[in-house]
Amino acid sequence: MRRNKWMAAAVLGAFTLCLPFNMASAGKLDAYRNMLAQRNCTISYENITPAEREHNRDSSNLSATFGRMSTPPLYTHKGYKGMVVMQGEDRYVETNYGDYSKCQLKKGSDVYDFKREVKKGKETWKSFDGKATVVASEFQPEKELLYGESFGTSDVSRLLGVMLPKDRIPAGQPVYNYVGAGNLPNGQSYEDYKASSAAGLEAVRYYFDGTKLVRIASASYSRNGAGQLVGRKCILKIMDFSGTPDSSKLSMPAGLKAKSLQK
Amino acid sequence: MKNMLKCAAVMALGAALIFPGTDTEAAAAEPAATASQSPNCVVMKFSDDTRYKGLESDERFAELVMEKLMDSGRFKLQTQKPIGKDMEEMLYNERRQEFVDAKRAIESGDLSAVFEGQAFKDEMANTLSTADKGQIVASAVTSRIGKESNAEYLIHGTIVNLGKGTWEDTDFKSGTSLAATVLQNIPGLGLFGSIGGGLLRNANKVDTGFGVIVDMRVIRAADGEVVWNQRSQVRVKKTKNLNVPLYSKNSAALNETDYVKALDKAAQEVVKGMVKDLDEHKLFL
Repeated sequence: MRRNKWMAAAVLGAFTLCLPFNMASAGKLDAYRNMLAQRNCTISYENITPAEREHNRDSSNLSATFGRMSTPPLYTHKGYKGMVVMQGEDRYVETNYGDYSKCQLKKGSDVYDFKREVKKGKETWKSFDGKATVVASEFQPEKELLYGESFGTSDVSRLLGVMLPKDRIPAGQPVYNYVGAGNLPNGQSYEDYKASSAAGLEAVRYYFDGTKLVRIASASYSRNGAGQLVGRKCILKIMDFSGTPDSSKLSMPAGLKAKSLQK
Repeated sequence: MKNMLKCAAVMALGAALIFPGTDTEAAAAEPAATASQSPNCVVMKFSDDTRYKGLESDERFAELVMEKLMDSGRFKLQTQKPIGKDMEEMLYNERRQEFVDAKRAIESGDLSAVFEGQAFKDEMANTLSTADKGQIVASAVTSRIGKESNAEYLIHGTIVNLGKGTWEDTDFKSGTSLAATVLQNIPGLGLFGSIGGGLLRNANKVDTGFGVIVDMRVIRAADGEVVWNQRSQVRVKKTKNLNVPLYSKNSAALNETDYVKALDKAAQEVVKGMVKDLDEHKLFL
């Protein structure tokens, strides 16, 4: 009997010791994880490390991520700002290159793709084929189930997607595990995540100023077509990440008409 | 009238006597003076980021840029041809060990060695093709090239996009749309105005040709900083397809001459931009 009590105490003690390691992941990032998971947020960022151009030198790797393939060549290799606004099933995603933005507005099951252009100081909003009316396309939930939710370019989608709860990560996509947290000499703190897959290895660091998320950095390493190990960094400066959706972005811009699929 | 013409001729002659080609002499002297004052430069092997590497557009473009830089007389070039070293390959070789070390650090859990290291600073460029003004490419590589070539600045270009395309002449479209509106609103024209306006509104002019998008950058050899960069987009229109009701005119297909013209025009634009910024002291910082 006494032996059983000791064993029970030992098991309970070991379990208690394990708890802090699990709860350590319940850190500063949790607030942002919840905003994304509950789909109530406004995120505004700047990517200062644009990706190299794909689909030109050798690769024929197609991707379902919004924004990767159809950026006008004039804006390739250029840094950009962006915005994500979510309120329930509605979502607005914008990738802004200064005088040109790619935009997508999802209202229920209608998806509207359009662009913003600034010419001679005048801002106009049009469909991608230059018309003043945007015809909706149908939202394809299976695409997001397979490849994950799209928040803009592939870099932004991936780095924000890392924050989502694990049960929201599509099967076959890398799962990022919590590595640790710490403080930096400049007063900021960080939380680290890491994922490893056949495609390569990636680490992501989330930087906080107090509890405010201010920066996301990722380092990824993979083999290129010639078998060489290549490294790539991506840095997003976060200007705003709040739980208040900017409702002005969840309707069509003035001057642009929407043609819904709903009858 | 005759008196007025005589008066104008006298005034013109007087102006020529008072100002006998002073500006021309100054302009003739300036290029030589500026070239000797500009720092030593070399033109590097350019990069081709397009699908069409077999065309060797990067070599052709580099030679065209070199030719125009020399013709401008404004740059002190240390070599007669672009340097054959592939900067992208050199940069990769320089960083190869860094990638191996960083991967090991991540695998062992020491992420701060990577994220707080030199390579992760905002000013360090990811690659040459994405390097923006103010960012630094591997200084060990650039300073080595600079010493070997006796150059203070490296001039490098990337062909970002190349292709045949069509584009609507938007000025033509704006003009015909405006004319259509006017015609349709002229009182008294009635049905004629309405029909005529409709025909004008549907008219369009589409040009076909070659388009080239290139990036040029000037890198200070000593520390690898990109001190200047510019993206240029050039279109060489070859054919004009005019479509108005009851009439259309379409021209022939493009050929290699048009492709070379596009590269040449792009080289001119690029060097023009460099000379302009040289004059405004924005090129070599």
